[in-house]
Amino acid sequence: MTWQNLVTCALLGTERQAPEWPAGDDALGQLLSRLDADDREGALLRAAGVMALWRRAGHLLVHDPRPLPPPCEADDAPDCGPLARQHLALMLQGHHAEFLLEWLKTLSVAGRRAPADLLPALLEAGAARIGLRPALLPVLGQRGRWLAQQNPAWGYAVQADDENLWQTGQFEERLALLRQSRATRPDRALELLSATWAEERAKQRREFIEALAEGLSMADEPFLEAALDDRSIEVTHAAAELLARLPESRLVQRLTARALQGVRFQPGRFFKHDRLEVELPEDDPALRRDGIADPPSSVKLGEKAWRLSRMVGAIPPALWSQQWGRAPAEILTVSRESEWRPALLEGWALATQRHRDPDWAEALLPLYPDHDTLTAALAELLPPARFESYLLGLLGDASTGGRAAALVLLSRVQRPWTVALGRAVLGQVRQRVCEDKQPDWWLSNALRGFARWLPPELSEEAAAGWPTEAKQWPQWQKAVNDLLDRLRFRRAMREAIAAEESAQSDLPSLE
Amino acid sequence: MLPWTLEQVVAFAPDAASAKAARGVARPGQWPMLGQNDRALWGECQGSGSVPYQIGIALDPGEPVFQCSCPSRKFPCKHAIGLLLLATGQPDAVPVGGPPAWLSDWLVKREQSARRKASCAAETDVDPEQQAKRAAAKDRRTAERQHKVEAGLEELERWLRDLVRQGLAHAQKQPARYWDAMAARLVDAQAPGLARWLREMASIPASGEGWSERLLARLGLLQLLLAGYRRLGSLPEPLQADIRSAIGWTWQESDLPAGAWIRDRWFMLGQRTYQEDRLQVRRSWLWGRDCGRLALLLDFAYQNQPLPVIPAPGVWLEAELGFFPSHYPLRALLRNSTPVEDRTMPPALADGAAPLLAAPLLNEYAEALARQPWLELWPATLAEAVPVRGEADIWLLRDATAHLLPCHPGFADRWRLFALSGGWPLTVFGEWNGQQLWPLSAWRGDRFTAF
Repeated sequence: MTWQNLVTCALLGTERQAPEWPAGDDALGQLLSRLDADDREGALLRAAGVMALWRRAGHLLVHDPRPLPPPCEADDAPDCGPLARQHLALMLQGHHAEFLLEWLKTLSVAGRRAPADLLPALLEAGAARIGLRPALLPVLGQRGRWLAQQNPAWGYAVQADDENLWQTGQFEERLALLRQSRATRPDRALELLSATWAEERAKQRREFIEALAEGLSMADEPFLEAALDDRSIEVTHAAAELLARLPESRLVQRLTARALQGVRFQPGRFFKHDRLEVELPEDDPALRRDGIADPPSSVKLGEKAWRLSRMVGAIPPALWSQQWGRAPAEILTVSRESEWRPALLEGWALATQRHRDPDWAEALLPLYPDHDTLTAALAELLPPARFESYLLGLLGDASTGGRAAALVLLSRVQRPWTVALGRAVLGQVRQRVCEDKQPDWWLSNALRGFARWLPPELSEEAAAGWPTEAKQWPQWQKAVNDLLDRLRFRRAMREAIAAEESAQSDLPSLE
Repeated sequence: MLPWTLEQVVAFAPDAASAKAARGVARPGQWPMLGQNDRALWGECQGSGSVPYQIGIALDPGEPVFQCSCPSRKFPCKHAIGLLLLATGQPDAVPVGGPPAWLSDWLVKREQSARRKASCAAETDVDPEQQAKRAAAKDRRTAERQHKVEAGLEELERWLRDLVRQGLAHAQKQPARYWDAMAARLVDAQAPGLARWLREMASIPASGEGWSERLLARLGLLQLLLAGYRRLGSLPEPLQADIRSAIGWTWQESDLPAGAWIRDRWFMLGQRTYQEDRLQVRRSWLWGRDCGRLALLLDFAYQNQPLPVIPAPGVWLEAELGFFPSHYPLRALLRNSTPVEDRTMPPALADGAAPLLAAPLLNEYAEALARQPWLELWPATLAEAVPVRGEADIWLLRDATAHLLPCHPGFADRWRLFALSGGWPLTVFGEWNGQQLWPLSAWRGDRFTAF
């Protein structure tokens, strides 16, 4: 007679079955022997109470003699301190989460790692956002990598066995794997892709090629050159786009040879100006192979002019300056006389972005003061000092148009500002508030974003000097407070990491 | 330096919406005026109206007291929490200085009323006539309650007998009101402890495999409780107290004899807050440095009401704890508490000081059950434990002899515990329910983490 019999009896009910309980000389049996068998309900309930306690008190432990899995190796880098830990905890809860990437990078530069108990949440964040991974991996430490091995959802943080995932994973997983290994080991990614290339479907081939943009180098050139002969036109275009960013690629060499013939520079003599002679390229299979086939319907240029723009767009723009002995600005001036100027400008702008040429970017910028996308794309290419002086120039412009353009541009460019630029921008925004205009909705939106690029050391200064008496101030107040709040958080989070770093280096050395 | 972390301050908010709103307010830009000294925090916050709200927070030992001039019905309001968040997260943003007049007024009034209360209490103590009257009224109330409870218990016993006569399978088919109605009658009979017991049982029939065993065990223990109450007079006094506690008698600070109070330095070992019907329940475990005792503080709050503010795990308190009479005293009340700036781990809980193996730990538990059979959750500390992952996502703690203590499936921070351990042993403190452990904190060396 056991506990199970008692349970069965209770399930059926005492009106159907009389309860029985263990008899015996042990303590339990003796205790239960005092129950009154005639009182079925009372006896069942009491026996249940006694046996439940008896079972609870006698919980038997399971023994598992198998050896434990290997523990994590000790970390050599110290983890971050309590304040930095609090900042991370808040960001992982969604508060100021936009600065998580910056926190990770700062921590990694300081040579520290994320605290152990927040690693699961951090690995979870990285599983959801691929963009976090390159910054996240260096701060995981031994503990984080060890942990990631235990949970398939965090496999991205584990180097081992990418081969298996690549061979058997879903398309999205494989694409994520490819992107991630391009960020850290581009050659390994190419190796994986080459191995399975023949079996991939066309749409996926295109997306895989596009993923090679990260970490692109001449090592990828033979693979991409071969992809120009792919059956799918989408794949060849994607390959041509990447090859056009590699100055030494065969594709660029081929197009250069043609372009130098098609566009010739005639130096001026006596009273004649410099001049460009242009011969438009005809359609031909070689050009088609290099990705210059039919213009998309949205293009405003004629078919031949479009071909010219694409050809010029593939060639490093510095080549023209060398070839013709003229600075980019001079070439742009000469091009004014050419009836094919729109095509040439489009090509140069494209080439400038592809080959990231700061000189040409600087020369082109004045031609596109407030273009939707091009202005910001060109400004991104300027080295810090030239970027700063260009924007300071705009902000100091007498015309409000120029100043407004500067703010629009800054809201689009993704790069940190210098202290001088930060000051000028804050001054400009303060002035706008003073001018008693309706607040521009876009600027009050953009203000929040400015917090990401302003130098955090300006946070005190940024808080002062707002025209709180101005009529429009209440309209601005929230956006300005948001900006200051974010800036302060960034500063606090950077200082917390830096303080721990210096506390560490202040420790007396052991020698 | 305030004794709370940002996460703890957020937990003072009555609900998630208030917490979110408070974060919005916790920005220096919103506060035209801010200040603090060692007794209070204060500030003026720009709200939607033309006059800024005035917020004061008295830093009383142990818990902050909030005061705000805004019309919000939430308490504490977002401004008060926001100010505390701001002062905790960015102490430099709140300058130290002298309080403004409105704050001083409030602080003075609070002190006066506290003094009045104290002197009131002192006066009534001296007046023997008053005292006798009060005692008589109290006895009358006690007798009335006794009577009601006895009637309620009789009804419950009939109900239990009906249940097992018809069978658990029959009970499983009953609607929720079958249990609710009995629970409601027990509330009317002033036996709230038993009412909770009934409501908890109501969820067992739908709890999946093993439900009939679990239900029968609860029914049996309940029957033992009723039997114990019937012969209450013949039981030792502490056990009588345990039975009365389980039925729903509670002790007020003033009921506890002077000998029940222990002054010590207490370490907050772990906390768990959960929802029980419309009630928020918080269990906090403390360990006394000199007395070596464990104590349980239970706090309740209805729905959106905030729980009383107490320090978070990992904090030391100088305080008095008054233990409820019991054959195995754990539950206690807290008074005169002051957080202490001390970050060391209790020496007796240091690595290796707690029971090293699960088997002797469970023997201790069996002894505790022998003293107090209705003990629901028992505080357990296991040293040198390695968290391991079993089958079907069941997590276990493995002791040095490879015996396994299962973790409760509801314990959500299992990956955090696992990450903390890194496959190495650590000390884990938690609540053992007879079958599973719910970890509340873990440490190695002096690195303490609460869940």
